[in-house]
Amino acid sequence: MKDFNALKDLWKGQTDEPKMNYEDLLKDVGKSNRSLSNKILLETLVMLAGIILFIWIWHHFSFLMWTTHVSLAILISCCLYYVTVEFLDYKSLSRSDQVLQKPDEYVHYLKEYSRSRHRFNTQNYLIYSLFIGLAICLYSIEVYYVSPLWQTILAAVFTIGWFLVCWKLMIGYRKREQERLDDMITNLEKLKNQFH
Amino acid sequence: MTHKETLFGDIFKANSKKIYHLCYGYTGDDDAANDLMQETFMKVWQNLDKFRNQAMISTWIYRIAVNTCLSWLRVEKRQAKDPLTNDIIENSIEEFSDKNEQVDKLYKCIAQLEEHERLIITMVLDELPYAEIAEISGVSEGNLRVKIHRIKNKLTEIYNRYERF
Repeated sequence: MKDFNALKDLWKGQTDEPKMNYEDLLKDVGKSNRSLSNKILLETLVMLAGIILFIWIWHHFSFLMWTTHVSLAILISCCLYYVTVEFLDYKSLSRSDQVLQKPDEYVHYLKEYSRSRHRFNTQNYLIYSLFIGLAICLYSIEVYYVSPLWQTILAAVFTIGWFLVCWKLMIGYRKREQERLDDMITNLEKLKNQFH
Repeated sequence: MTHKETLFGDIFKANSKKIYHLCYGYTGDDDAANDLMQETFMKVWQNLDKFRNQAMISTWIYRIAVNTCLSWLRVEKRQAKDPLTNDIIENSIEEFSDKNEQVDKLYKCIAQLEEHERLIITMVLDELPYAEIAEISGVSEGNLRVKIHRIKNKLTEIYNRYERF
């Protein structure tokens, strides 16, 4: 039989050491910051290239239908939306004040953050995909008037296919995300209750 | 080496062992403890400029470590509760010296506690003053004393129950 003081002596006598030193840690800090910044930068550059390409197409080609102009405006808006969200997310990740909050307040922040990410990955992504689908639909009207029938059919099949794939993927994704979120919220609720 | 790096080095040397114990006590897993400790000190580095005229830097670091541990449960979706079976104990006997085996068993017993109990008891075992534990965990000192008394009894009971094996 041991009392708590005996457990404390045992604890003090432990020889396990952390497997890292601060020089390695500083190297990892640099690497991790660079890899996140590089990822965000690459995604932003790809989207900016997309925006420039759409603007170039808009200016260099003359379109017959007003629907094509709307289509291009939607595509550019979608790219801008993506870049903005990426930027805000990066800003929120680099602002780590929350980690200094009291644990129960921090758990509350984690819960809200999880919910907002879930909303973004499901609802907002669905709307984003629908807008891209709508832009393709609007563009296919121009294709219908200026291109041979087979190209119009191809565009229509592609658009319908786009919608079906997005719809199918989204159902599975939403289900998985919901289960993950429910699990996470249950755990976070449990943690939050422990601090009261 | 910059002033910030030198300061960080000193902070790391003074606190890393205790933070490692806290993370190990929370996760019950050596690799996860190292990962969490690394994440904690990365956050310490990122927030070092914000630390101004506060009473104790260790309190501040512990707060970051506690919050990092709490988000581990969310991100990894893992439970550290590893049932202490005869099998685990037999393996432990083969793998570790008697002293290490007892420490290992103690960690496994800590893993049987609730998450917040694990965090509090590792700080108690590391002999942090109650006022500091209260500040880190955000629990009032009066309430904390009651909690600590209960957790000490619970841990001792779990340990003694399994010491027979």
